[in-house]
Amino acid sequence: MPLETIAAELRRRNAWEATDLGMVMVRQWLGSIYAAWFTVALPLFMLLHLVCWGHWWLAPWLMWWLKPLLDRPPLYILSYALFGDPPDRRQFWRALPGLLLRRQAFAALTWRRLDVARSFTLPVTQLEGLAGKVRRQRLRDLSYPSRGAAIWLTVVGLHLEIALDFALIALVWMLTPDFIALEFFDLLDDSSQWGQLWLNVVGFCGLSLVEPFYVAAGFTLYLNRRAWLEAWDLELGFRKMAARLAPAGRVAAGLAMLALGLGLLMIPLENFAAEAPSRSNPPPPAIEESLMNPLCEQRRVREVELAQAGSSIKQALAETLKEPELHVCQVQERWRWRDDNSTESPPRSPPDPRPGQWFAATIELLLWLAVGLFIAVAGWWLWRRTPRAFTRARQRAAQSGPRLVQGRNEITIPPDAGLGDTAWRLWTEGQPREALRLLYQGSLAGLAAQHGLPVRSSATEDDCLRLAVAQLANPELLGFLRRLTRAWQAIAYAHRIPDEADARSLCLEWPRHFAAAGALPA
Amino acid sequence: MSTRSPTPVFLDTLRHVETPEGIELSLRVAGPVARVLAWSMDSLIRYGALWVLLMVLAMLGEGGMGLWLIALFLTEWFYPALFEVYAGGATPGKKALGLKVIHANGTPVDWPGALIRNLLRAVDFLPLLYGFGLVAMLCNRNFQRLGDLAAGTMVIYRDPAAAMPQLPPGRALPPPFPLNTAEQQLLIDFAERSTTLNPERQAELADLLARQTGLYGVAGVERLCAHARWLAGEPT
Repeated sequence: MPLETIAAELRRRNAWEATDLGMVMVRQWLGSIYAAWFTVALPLFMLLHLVCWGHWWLAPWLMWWLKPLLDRPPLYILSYALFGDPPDRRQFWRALPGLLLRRQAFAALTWRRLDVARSFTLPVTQLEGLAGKVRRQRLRDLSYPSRGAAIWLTVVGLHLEIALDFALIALVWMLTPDFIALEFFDLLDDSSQWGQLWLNVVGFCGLSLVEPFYVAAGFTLYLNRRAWLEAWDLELGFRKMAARLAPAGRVAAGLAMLALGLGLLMIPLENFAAEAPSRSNPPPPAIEESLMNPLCEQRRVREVELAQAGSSIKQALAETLKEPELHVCQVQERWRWRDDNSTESPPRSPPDPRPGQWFAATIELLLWLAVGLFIAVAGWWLWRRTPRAFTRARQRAAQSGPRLVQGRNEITIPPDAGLGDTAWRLWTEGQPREALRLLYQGSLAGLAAQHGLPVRSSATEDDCLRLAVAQLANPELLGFLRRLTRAWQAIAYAHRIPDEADARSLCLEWPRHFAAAGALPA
Repeated sequence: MSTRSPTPVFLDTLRHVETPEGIELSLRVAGPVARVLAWSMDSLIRYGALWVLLMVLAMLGEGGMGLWLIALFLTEWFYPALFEVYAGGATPGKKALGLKVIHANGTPVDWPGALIRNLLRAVDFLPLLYGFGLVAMLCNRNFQRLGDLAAGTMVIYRDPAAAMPQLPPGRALPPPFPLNTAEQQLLIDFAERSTTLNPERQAELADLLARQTGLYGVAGVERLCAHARWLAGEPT
């Protein structure tokens, strides 16, 4: 097991942190771990239903009993992937029979089945391949204090699995449309075969969600315990340290000292800023950025000082500082994405103000136009909606007088003195309804034209009569109107034809009341 | 099974936060197992207290029941937020498990953050028994549930108070090679923990640096411990 290839940080973690690392590992290799899981678990799930045909309640219990075997393929993937060597499909298939049938599979399913720290002891059995007394001793060495955490892990995993089962059922229930009359407890009903199958599927989903995480968390508990006991973090650190220190020996050490020295030299730069750069040293024109950046200024002053110093080592330092790699002063005046490593500077020509102004002017104009349009639309809308508009339309209609009449048709015959005769002719021709309509319409037109009665198009016959009673002082005319209205109402709404004598008198009387006005509009 | 990752991965449960002063903090984010246990403990405490309260208030008749219902409402919604704001980011359960709540940028959690993350428990609880919360936690890099995501908070492990290193007694020697901070820490760690390792493992580890120290076995271990003592500030 080459520790250098491990793909996880080997800090010393507390037990809970160790389980968290397991979660991260599953997330990292989710695809291959779940592929390994379903390769075994899904066929087993179906097989158990075939075997237990008719007794499907048995399947989940057998599934639960066989869990220790189901745990093994994910652990196999995890253990190889962690050390930088994720197995490919062929390797996995070759290893699978051994995983499922050997490595104390029988013990795992019988007297060790109820081991509450199963996830933690599995790596010892499967990865270290220990058995019997050696295994027991090994577990004793490893156990404290990780075994406690492993037991808690089992407890939490069990509860999470059950909680997820219920969550899944509730989710299905929530997403069921209303027209399917389904109660939540219908979904928990295992009395029918299909209900049992549904619950088994839910249980399998919950199991599949939790179990790989459970296995990984147990594995990382085991790893963490070994990392504590065997100081894996120290080993890795020492290896790195040796690799760093080894290659060039003393030379490397010397370079490191030089680097340290440079680092120390950089520290007093702050003080130089306080001293204010001496004016006697004109800035070398080559360093352009120094004019913009106080840090570069400090650096430049420092370089010049070093170059003018007497001692040779300081001059050597000044030379070194001029190397391009050490030229750390860089002024960037544009935004760039964090991941963007391109260093070419964008075109720096000063922006032309005119396009901007044009743009601003255009936008302003458009805004004003929009405001004007808005006001116009709002005004039109208000004008359309106010009652004033109606009244004006009514006034216009009222001014046309006779056009405003009761009934469906407008007056087709001008209400002149001959209207009474016309009506009587219609009556004698067997059209009493038309005759009375003509009389009534003519009367209304006459009332509007001669007496200025504001008859509305919405008024009923009784409205007109009331209006007339209120406004006219001629009892004779009112009596006539009353009789006419009753007769008209009788024929119009009740289909009762008035007596011929009444009709005759109405026709004869009409001109007396209205025809006096030859001024009736034609 | 067939994915050979082209770039080496390096898994950890740390979240690095850089403070405005340019100091990088490493926060150890806490995952589901510890948080489920902390939640269970809080629930026990809460409902235990409510049960005792119920015994007392039941003697007051209907008015007492009204008071109890108010207490139930308050504890249900404000118990975690109250502790998270005023007790260093940890409810009693979290404290017992060594957890605390902070903002994702490393600052202590405040009222808005604590309220949002706790009121949104109702969402995490959906569809039943924290189904969404658990799935969100497993999917998220920082183990944040939905309430945490909305409030911009996360749950981390509290760092234990740093203790002075307890090194085995002996002489101190300056290391003959320059060491960076991590390496100095590593040597001190080695000296500190050498007592918990068996001698063979100690020698095995010390031999990894034999080319640098020029010593093998027990002598190498002793030499590394001497360097560690010097680094820890003991006089030569």
